[in-house]
Amino acid sequence: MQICRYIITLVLSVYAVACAAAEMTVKDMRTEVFWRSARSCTWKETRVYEIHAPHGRDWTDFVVNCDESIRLVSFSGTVTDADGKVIHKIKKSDLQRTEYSRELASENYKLWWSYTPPRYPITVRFEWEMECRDNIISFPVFAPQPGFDVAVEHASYTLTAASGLGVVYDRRNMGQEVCRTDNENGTATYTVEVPGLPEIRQEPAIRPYEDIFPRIIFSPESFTYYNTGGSLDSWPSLGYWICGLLKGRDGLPAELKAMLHSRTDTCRTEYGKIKEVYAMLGEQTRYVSIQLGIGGYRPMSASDVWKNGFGDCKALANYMKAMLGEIGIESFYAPVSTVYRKLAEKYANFNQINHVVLAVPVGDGGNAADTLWVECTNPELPLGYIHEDIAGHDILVVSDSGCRIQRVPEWNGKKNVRQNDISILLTETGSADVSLRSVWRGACYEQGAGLKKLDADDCRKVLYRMFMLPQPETKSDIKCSLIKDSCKVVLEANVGSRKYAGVNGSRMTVRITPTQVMRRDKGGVSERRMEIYEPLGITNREIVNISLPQGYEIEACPSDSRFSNDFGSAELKITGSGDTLSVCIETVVRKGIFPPEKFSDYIKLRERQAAMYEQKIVLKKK
Amino acid sequence: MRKPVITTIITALMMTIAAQAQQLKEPNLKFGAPTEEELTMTTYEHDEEAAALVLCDITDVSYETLNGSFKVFYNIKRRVKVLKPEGTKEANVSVEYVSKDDVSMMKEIVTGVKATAYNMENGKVVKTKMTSDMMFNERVDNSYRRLKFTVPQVRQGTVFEYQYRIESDYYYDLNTWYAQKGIPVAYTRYELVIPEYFQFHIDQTGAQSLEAKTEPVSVSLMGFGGISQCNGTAHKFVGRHLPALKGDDYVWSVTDYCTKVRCELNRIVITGVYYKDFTSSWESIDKMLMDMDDFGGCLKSRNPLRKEMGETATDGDVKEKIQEAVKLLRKHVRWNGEYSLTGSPAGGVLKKGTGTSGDMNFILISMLKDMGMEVYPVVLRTRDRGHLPLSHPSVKMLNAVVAGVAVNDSTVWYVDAAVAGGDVNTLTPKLVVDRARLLTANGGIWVNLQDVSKGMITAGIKCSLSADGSFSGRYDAVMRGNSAMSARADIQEAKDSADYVSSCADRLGVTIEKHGAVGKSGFSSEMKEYFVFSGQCDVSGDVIYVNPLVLSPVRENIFTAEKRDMPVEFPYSRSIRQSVTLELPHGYHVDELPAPLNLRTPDGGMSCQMQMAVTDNLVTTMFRMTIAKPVFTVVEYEAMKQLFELMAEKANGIIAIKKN
Repeated sequence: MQICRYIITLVLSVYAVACAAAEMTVKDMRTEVFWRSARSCTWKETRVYEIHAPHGRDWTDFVVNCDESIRLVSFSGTVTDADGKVIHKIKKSDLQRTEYSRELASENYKLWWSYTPPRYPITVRFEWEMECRDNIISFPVFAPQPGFDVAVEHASYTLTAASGLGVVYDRRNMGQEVCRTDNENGTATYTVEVPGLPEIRQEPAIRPYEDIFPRIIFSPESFTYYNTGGSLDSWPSLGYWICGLLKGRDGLPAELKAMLHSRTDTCRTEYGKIKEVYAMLGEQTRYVSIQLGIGGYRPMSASDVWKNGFGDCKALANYMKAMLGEIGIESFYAPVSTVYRKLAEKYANFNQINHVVLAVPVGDGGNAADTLWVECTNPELPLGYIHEDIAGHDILVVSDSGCRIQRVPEWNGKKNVRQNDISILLTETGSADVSLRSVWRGACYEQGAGLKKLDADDCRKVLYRMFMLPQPETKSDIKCSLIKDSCKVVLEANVGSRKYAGVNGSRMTVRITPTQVMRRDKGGVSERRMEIYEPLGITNREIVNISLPQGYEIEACPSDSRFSNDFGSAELKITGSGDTLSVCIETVVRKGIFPPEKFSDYIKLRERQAAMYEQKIVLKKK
Repeated sequence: MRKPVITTIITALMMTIAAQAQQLKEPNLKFGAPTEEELTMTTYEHDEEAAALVLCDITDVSYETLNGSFKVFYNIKRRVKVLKPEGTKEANVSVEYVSKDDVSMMKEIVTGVKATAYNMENGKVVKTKMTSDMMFNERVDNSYRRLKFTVPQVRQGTVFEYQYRIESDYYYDLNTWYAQKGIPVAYTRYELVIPEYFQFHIDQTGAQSLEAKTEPVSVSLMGFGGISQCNGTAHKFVGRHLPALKGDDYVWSVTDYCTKVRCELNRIVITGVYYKDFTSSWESIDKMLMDMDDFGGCLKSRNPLRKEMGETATDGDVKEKIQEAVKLLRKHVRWNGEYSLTGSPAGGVLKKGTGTSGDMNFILISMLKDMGMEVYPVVLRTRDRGHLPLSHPSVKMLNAVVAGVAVNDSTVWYVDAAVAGGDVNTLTPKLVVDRARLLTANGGIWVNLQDVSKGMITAGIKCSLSADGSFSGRYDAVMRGNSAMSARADIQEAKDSADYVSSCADRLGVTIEKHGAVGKSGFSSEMKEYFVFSGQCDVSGDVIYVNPLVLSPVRENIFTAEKRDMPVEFPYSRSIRQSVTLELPHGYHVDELPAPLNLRTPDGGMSCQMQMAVTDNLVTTMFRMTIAKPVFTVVEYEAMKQLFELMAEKANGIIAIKKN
């Protein structure tokens, strides 16, 4: 997985509320897994969905993922109307197949079917059977509630394992226990049944999907995968298997070894050496994803990365590890999930690993804070920058001498700062010369760094979305710099605005800052049900100096104000007189999980923050 | 010190000559040998921001014969320079080609794939070839496959080359050649050698100029048991320093504006052996469509909903009859989201309960005919596919049909039964094209659907202002045509009514207490909406600052780019009229009224008026904005942008209300 950001956000980060208001009830969801031997597993699935209205149309679509080991054995489906009349039947040959993938190479393919119901409500029933031969590393996940705004009437899951085959599982966000029954024939059956679940409404500022939705991840206790074997009885056990996959993959050609020494031997500190090697990684490689066979988990060898100049996250992390090893710096291959913050507590599984970074201890070792967490797929990130897809996530640190779970540190909210220094030279016609300097620090770095990837035209478009500058004229090149040493992004621009201020007769209305703020969507929620989730603490600071035109005096000026509640604060100060005004706005968003009854406070803070940015001064001709 | 004029002139002249020399400098056409200049360049002078640059792009197209049939071969060679790290993505190449899943003999294959990267390392050129294990093939769907490969050792500064050959059985259907790419192109050449047996219409379009040359050549055709010679024509197109081409939100299809060469087969003539005329005129296409079972055949079908229509359907005026027919049809058939030119048998469509736009509109045509109306199919190319080409007509360019109802000798109404929320003469923007073809028994005629499918909002606001700056009022609007269709879509897309009202309130910056809408679904000419709102103005001492429109219909100028290389294509023409009555608090007066606004672009394509008046304690404001045409050219952009800016400024301006 490549970690690469193209996020351009405005001063107060904006979230999107998905509008896919699904109006569907899971009437029945059944999964029956038969794990017959270490190399053979089949499962039967039944889904009965009642779709009430057009917003739920997507639930009529059917899709299964297959690959070299997993195939669809049988499939049938029906669509019935409100009277119970079958209006459409689907058979296996009706399914479409595509191998389309975003990766350069993958052996996955999808079988799918899409349908537009003639009327609503309708009920779709899909029944299918899958078979997995060899490489059984996971079982179907039990996810009884497949999405927002979906109620569940009944869902069940059974897994019958042949004698001697152990099953482990991780249960989250649900009260129902998994019941194990030992059968007379030596098999064991694991059963869980969910009688009914109320819908989870899609609301703004909601906790991540993985924290809310019920699911159980079932896995084999031990597995074989492309002639290798491992155990999932614990994360260290999985780490041990991964460690085995890395064996012999770290050999480097003599030319690269020589280059490494010539570039690092003179570095005085270990950090300096790591930094130099990281720079080499960025110069020599690019991210390309190839996921074939065991290559889904075993990295391309370091020598192949050197030869090709590319690799996926596994390959690049292994390559970096090998390079550091060559100059005597120990580092650890570290698989992580970019989706799940918390790994299953007791047992390991493959569902919670989709990315790899490199852990490089730089202090006493063993402490997450003394470790550089090196993202090897995106050289534009400063060395050790902890991006949002891994910040605060559990991570499996793999080592020959023992594997362990650590937690990647999170950004301290005080360090996440976005600051605009703006100077506005206003004329009596309402035009202005505006010089802008925006700085993103801490976790905000990722948001700003996306600008660097844009060409001049797109960068200009983004600039004019960030700042309201009517009738703009770019007076100098827009300069975006990534200052990796201090982990900040700096954007500088000089822009003319022919109509910065509105002239109405003898009056002129002047926005106190050109920075645009999008108001947070309240999502039409009248009664908040879910906890309010703010993943990141951020400070936005706005320092604006406005030089007023001659012949005008201030008729109205916003007064200083401050507002604060549990969710953060907002403060506006305006100083100066005569020809110049200095405006300072500081808004703080606090990270946290807040009770639903505080939602009105949450909205109130957002509105107060946005309102401060929208304030105007009124000038009047003397 | 003043520079002598003569020196300035000479300097300018020399600079011009140098620039021309630069322009005409021949590119390196030799593959496998990038020049030092190519290897060491760090920026491209014509686009200093470019992340990558196509240095040389050559497409040679030729014919051969195999197993008694013609084949067309596309030989593609490309050299690319990576100027910035993000330009490395150009090294991930994807070639899509026809490969049908069925037993069809017609196919394409991709052969001869080679790729090499060149890097300067310690003053030496290091060459890295792609190995075959870096090539992958995937089936996209039943008709297409995709070859994917990635060039090794590509990083900032790399020059890489790749080449491949597509062997196609589709000798009569040549791929369109696009001179421009998503990155700038320093040099591109398209060479097409056509044996005398094929007569193509070759059409070059786009804003960039190409050097074009045509000459007779002798053509050697492999196959038929050896090499045979015939006459032929070589067409050569060369482009230099072509800018990158990127789409945006204001063009429907960026390929419309890409410089390209399109070939359309007119005829095949193998003297004494074979002759087939592919020449098309729109008249012949009209006839072809009428002869097709799934087009002309559908027009002959009986109304399958005759029983359901009953007798009431024949009452009422023509428009009401059409509306009722569409509503009835939609009760039985739901649109499946696909546009189509043709229809399936009506019985099957009704049984299934869903259908394409073609399925539905052919049924509608039969229903309206059954009501005694004169109805014609109107065929078109949806806007997202690009404009219908002005020359070389082709049926494959058409992909949708709507119904045209002749209401009198000079008036035709246009109806689409598929997309929800429309009305008679209110088509979804994708169908609002400037060239559609209405097919009558006597032949086809061109019609402009942009002349009929328009939007209009007429809104009235009554609002009271209090001395503390708070205000409250009521908004009433009637939306017609496409404006009603758009509002209906917003309502349908919202999760629920609370979600819709909340997003309206956020957009307008007020609190909405009560909301209602009439005609928010169905098929009718207008939708009415009202809501009761409240909000707060800025107050300073004795002065209240209020926007005279209270709820501004234009929040900001959406056109901020200083210049555009492509036109602006709006969804449809529209107008907004808003009248506002603002009641002042007792004891206050208007200190100063802004000057009225009356703007129009030179051709009247866009205009805006705003006027205010004060009577006793009432301020009345009239605002009107008209976009009279949906497309504004590159030349018109500046005037349009300025009008938008002034309009946005005025619509968000303030008046000062002062205590007596």
